[in-house]
Amino acid sequence: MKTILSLIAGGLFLLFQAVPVWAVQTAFTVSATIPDATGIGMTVSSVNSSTNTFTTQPAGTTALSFDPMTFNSTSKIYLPDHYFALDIGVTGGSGSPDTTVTYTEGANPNNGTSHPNGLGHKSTATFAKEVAGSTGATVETLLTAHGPKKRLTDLSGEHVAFTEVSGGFLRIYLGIWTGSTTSPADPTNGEPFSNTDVAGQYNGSLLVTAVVN
Amino acid sequence: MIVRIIFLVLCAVGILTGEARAQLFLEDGKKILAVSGGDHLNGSLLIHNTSSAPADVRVYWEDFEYQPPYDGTKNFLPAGTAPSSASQWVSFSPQIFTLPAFGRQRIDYTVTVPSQIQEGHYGVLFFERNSDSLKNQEGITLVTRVGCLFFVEPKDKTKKAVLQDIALKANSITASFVNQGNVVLIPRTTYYIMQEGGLVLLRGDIGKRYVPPGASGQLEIPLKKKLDPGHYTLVVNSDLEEGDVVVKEIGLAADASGQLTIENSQD
Repeated sequence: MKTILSLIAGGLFLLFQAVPVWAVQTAFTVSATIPDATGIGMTVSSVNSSTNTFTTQPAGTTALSFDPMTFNSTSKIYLPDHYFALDIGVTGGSGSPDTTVTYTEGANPNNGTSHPNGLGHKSTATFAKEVAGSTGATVETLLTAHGPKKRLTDLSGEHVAFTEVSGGFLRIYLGIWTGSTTSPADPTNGEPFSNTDVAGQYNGSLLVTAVVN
Repeated sequence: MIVRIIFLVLCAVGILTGEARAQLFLEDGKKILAVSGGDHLNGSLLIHNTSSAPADVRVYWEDFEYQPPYDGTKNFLPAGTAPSSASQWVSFSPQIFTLPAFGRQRIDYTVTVPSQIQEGHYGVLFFERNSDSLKNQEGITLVTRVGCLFFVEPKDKTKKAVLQDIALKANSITASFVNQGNVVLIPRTTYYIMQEGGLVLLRGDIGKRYVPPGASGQLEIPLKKKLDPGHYTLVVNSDLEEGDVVVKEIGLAADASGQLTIENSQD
């Protein structure tokens, strides 16, 4: 009898010991919210027109000069010895920022003449998707939905969706219109710098915007 | 040891490349605020400079409107010029500052809603990196900016839409998603085609649309394979988030040549 009572007492003791353990069992909800982050960064390279050699410009470069422009006696137009490659990286976190590109004409010495077009008509932007290859070089796909080559003056809210460059990044080549017919050909509605243009500095600004949808 | 050195060098190259690329990084690119008339809300945004060079930043507000085909394309407008502008309701500080290398800055904003709000109001707070302008040179000045979209919408908003103008095109079916509510709707649309026996033959989804009140966004459902003769039901489901959906059932018939006709449609 004593043994039975001892066992019951022991069982009750263990039960009461265990109850507090059950009582502190709590279900915790674990969560994390990642916002629609948006980031933009650029790498600017100057590209030698003859050799296509890229020279990365210092971080934060924002002034892209085509000078010196030299006269080509064969084609009778002014040409630079370089163009630019603008690599645009948009960062999204869980967001997917799109890129919008808009050109605004700046100084234009041709203003007020019978041929008033400025740099926007005499320069081009070529849109491409770049994907890093195994050898360090990038694999390029021209974005035909964006021309792939347009006059800068035609860039008004040019919208490149995040999905168009997913897995890679957007590259925009900026150059002076030469009339090239080699693919991707210069747009036929562009025009060169020639001796019919008023002497002086021609410039403009390119606004690159990254926002989510 | 050699492997470790190579790894460290590769990491350093990666960091340097990253520095050259990323410059302005905004933690939150979108604020959706459900408000009532007379509300006064405060909040903040955090912007980072992820490069090793300091950046002068200007903060300003612009309006935006989604543009056809409503795939996310936006038109940015000066503050206060869009009919649904929230520019008069939002104030923020600071408006100009310098971000040190790898530094960050908090921007506080306040949204003051008038006594009544009938529909959604929108805008974008831009963070623009000041640029060195060209001096006496021919060329282009680059300007970069990131933005945080603001959706200020009434708590009792009306989310209402219809799918209409169902039509057949070559290898696809088109429909118009018409926003009859008072806020921007962002439907994610899925679809499937069922045989008479209920077997699903084809399913897929259509990219998100961003449709302002009163506007109509085009949806296109590709028919990737020819249907055998018979009757089918196409079910189109536009998820408007927060449990709201718009569903359309479209009866289709395919003849022996594979030619499709629309027999009926119902919500």
